[in-house]
Amino acid sequence: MDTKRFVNEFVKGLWKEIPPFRFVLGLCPTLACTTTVSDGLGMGLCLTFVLTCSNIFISMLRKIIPDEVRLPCFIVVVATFVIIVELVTQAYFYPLYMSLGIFIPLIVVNCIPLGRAEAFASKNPVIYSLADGLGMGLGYTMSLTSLAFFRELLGKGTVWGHQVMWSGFKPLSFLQKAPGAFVCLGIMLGIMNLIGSEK
Amino acid sequence: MFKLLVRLVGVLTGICVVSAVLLTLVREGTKEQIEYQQLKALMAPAVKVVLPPSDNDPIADRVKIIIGKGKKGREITVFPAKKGGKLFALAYTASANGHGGPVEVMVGITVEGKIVGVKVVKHAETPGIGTKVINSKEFMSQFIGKSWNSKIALSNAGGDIQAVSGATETSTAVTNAIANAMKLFPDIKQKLSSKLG
Repeated sequence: MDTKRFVNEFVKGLWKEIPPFRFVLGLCPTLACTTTVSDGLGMGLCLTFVLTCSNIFISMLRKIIPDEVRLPCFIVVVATFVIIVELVTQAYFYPLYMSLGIFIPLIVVNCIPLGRAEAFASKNPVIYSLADGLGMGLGYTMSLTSLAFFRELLGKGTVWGHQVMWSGFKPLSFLQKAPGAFVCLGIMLGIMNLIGSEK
Repeated sequence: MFKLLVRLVGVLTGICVVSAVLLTLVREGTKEQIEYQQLKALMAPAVKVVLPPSDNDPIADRVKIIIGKGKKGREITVFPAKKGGKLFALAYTASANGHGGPVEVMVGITVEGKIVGVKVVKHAETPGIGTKVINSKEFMSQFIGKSWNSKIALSNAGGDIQAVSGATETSTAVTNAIANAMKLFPDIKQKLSSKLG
């Protein structure tokens, strides 16, 4: 195992190829599950689990899966882990399950797990696929959490459900709605591109 | 060509079988806990209203009891309340038909058979009319203190429960549901005590 490569595959997902901002992939939960920090973090961690596990398995099976049926195979693997996440959150994190609702099963059709399976895990050894999955997942979690942080702070005046703004603060409730999510995401994308282009 | 076909089908089938086995295991492993969470979300508010404070968690200690025999048999979930390890009250639901479908009422009852609380947990009554009954503390409090073997009926049916005016159908449904629950009481109590030892 090449440690430097392992670190590289892990770190790229955290900034250089951070999924929603650099690839603009997986936007559906990015917009829908970021009204509160706890939702954003929960969604991110669910996706991280699915992505890491599916990357490992698809990489393990990459020499067995015939090219002609690779997409159905990938989808079955991804769907399996999504259902596991759904059952486990329902059993042990019920409030999170209730607030994420339909967006947990929808991870199956999220572009990120399938995209990483096709672009990375099906061509690379298990250990690097693990690093890729973890990195991408945590990058996604970071993006969702930071977006949720601004939306909750300015839209509700709270962080993680605790009031943090001064008492006279009028929340910009626009940011809690879907159009507000687009605006917030757009501003963050713009800032990210600005920083990226300076290099 | 044929070899390729076998390989394609074989690999995909193999992955699906492994996936199915894995999911069955996870599903079996989380079944109880999921049921508990769902019951907690749906029933906990009602259980809190209808049962007096207890030492135990009535939802975690729920007991399933089968009422009736053969095809007519159905399962009822009973929530026992204990103090010092001794059963002193229980809660369960029963239903009766209302204006918009079945009205399900949870009844809290002491081991002696006295009603200590009632709460509607599921209904499809008309908002603003039927819901007047469901939200009326005055109407609901008429049942409290009644014994399981006393007559539970509206005044127009020979009982002493005053219906909420303009919402007789829902009033009847709630009253019938509670009456149905009371009919089951001796059976449930006996089976519950034998299950709790």
